[in-house]
Amino acid sequence: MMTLVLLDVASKAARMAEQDPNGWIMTLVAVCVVFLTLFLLQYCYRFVGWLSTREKNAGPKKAGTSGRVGAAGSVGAASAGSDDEVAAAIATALSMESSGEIQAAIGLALDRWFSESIHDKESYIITIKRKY
Amino acid sequence: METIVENLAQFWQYTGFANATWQHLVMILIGLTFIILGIVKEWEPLLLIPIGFGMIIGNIPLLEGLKVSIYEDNSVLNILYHGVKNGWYPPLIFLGIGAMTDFSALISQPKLMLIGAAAQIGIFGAYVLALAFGFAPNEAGAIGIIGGADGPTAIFLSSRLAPELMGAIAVSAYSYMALVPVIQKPIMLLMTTKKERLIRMPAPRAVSQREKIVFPIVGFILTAFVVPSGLPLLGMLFFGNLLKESGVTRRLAETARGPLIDVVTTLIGLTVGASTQADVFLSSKSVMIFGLGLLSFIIATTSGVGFVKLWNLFRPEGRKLNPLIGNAGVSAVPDSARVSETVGREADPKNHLLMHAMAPNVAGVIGSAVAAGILLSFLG
Repeated sequence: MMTLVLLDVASKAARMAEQDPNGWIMTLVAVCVVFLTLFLLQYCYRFVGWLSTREKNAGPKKAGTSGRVGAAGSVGAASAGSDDEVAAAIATALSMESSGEIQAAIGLALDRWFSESIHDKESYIITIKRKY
Repeated sequence: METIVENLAQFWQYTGFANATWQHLVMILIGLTFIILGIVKEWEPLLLIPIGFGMIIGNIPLLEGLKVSIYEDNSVLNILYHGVKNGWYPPLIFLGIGAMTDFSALISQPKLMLIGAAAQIGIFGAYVLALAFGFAPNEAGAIGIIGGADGPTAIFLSSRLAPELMGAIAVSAYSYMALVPVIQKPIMLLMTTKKERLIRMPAPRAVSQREKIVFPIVGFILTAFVVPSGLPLLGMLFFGNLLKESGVTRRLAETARGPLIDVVTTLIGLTVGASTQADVFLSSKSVMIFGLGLLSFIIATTSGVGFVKLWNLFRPEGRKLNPLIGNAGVSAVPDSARVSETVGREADPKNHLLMHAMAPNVAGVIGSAVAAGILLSFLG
């Protein structure tokens, strides 16, 4: 079996050496195929993204809410009422805490978002310098 | 007394000291260098340390017939080496990569996939150059894949196309992957202006869980239909990602991206290193492979950055892309995306390019697997 495979590789290589000695034809074909594949793929994902965004925008209306979409572009798994739930959770957390850490975390996250400098890894360490 | 001396003389013949050649010592030194670079410089330590130690194992001078060498049938190392020789390990590594990679950056900005395609020109540039240097087409294809900056793909393809060159190709691919920051940064600086390096790109949109689940299924079906020969790599990559994103196979995903990939990485590193025996490895061909590997990385980086610059000519003001993400089209994840971030922040400390660069970076993984499939269908 191994011999057969090796022969096959050798014969294909010999044929390529004869038909395309400089490799330009294969290069052209291969680059076109790679581009075509990823081009098709990106169109598929654009379509899926478009569907998802449309569904997300339509969601609050169906649920009879004001139609507001979360400023941060809500995560699609969230249901129609998730914005309200998040708001309620934040409000509860803020009312329960007294150290200022949660406010600082929310403030930091909002600052990051609005300065468009969100990236994937954060240290999650916040240092608070108290005045008193 | 005479018998003792005879026995000692016979024992001496079995030792490494009696069988050592300067080539063995050179390879052991190279292995030690890999280990030192991995520990001191922390350059890809998970790969360089197993490969470096494997090089030392593979170059301990031996008498033939002891059944311990990697090339002797049924020795322990030989059995482990079957995973490399028959291409079993790379797809398992791709399973782990799929299970640990977050494709959100790519899903939210699918257009950036094309940068991942542009960087694959490095593979085919090196293929053309290798042919010009007198390599046979199958060898040239195996050498070209170094430009994909993807170790498992390089091992997978070279095991099929040119098994005799696999050691040199794998070591070259992993060495240059470790040197991505050193190789790519000067090219990026040379190809971009200060103004271009300051371009800010809008934050990518958030991606729904449903999109993340659809991604591996659609991606696999489409790419496998176009390039069925890339099935083992593409199938495992997307399968691993489905395990991660489905939300109901957490244990499987954790195993794939944890213990499984660790075990396979250890075995692949050690056996690839051990396969670089001096008599096979130290040749003019290996030197040429290292040279061509470096050129393929340079071509890949140049084409990625150049493609973004070209694309920007057709994009309106305010929607231009920062060309510093072009280098990330090679699939050294996440190292090349980190280079984009670092170089970008040197120009503007508040400009974070990491999330944008991750899109072409993971597209590069898909692109190099597709390119490997194409080479395999032409030459394999």
